[in-house]
Amino acid sequence: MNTWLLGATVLLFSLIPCGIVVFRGDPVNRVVGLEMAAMIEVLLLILLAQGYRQVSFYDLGLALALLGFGGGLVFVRFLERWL
Amino acid sequence: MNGHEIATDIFIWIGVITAALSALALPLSTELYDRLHYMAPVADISAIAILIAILLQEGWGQAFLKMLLICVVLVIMNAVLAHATARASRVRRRGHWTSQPDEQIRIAGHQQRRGE
Repeated sequence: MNTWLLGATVLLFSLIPCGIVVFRGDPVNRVVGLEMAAMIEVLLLILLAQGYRQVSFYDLGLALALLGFGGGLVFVRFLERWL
Repeated sequence: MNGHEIATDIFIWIGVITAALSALALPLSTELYDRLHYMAPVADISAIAILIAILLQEGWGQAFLKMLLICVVLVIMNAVLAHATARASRVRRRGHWTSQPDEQIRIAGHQQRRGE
């Protein structure tokens, strides 16, 4: 196991605090936990791609970053107006 | 292990530990606005540290360019989402986004009316 994969393992455990926030509190605080989890998952996918030396896996991180951005905006828009 | 690999490892761990500490601080803080601030180190420090680590290992290749694009998306994503989330929270609590003339504004731990 190289340093990239060790770092990815640490980041995997960093999702636990985000999960705690997502399952507790009011809806806006839950969205913050979701946004943090999305950013950590992007970095996790990058570390895995580099750890396995597969440049094509970077596209997963890029897709998740773009989708997490759009998804987060839709969530906060709904929270602001309708939910 | 040469100096190049040591520098790469250092930047990887800077990125990972910054992200882990920010994630750990998330449930420990109670204020929404504090939580929004903890997203910034992940998007800025961690992403750029990992970008430097990739640059040190791979050089100016395809991996670096893709990571650079991801860093740009993360930095923009953090700024826009933090603002949008804070705005949504304020609109939910007060029903409007703009401040009112008689609104109490908290400045450095004490209450103050707007314009005073």
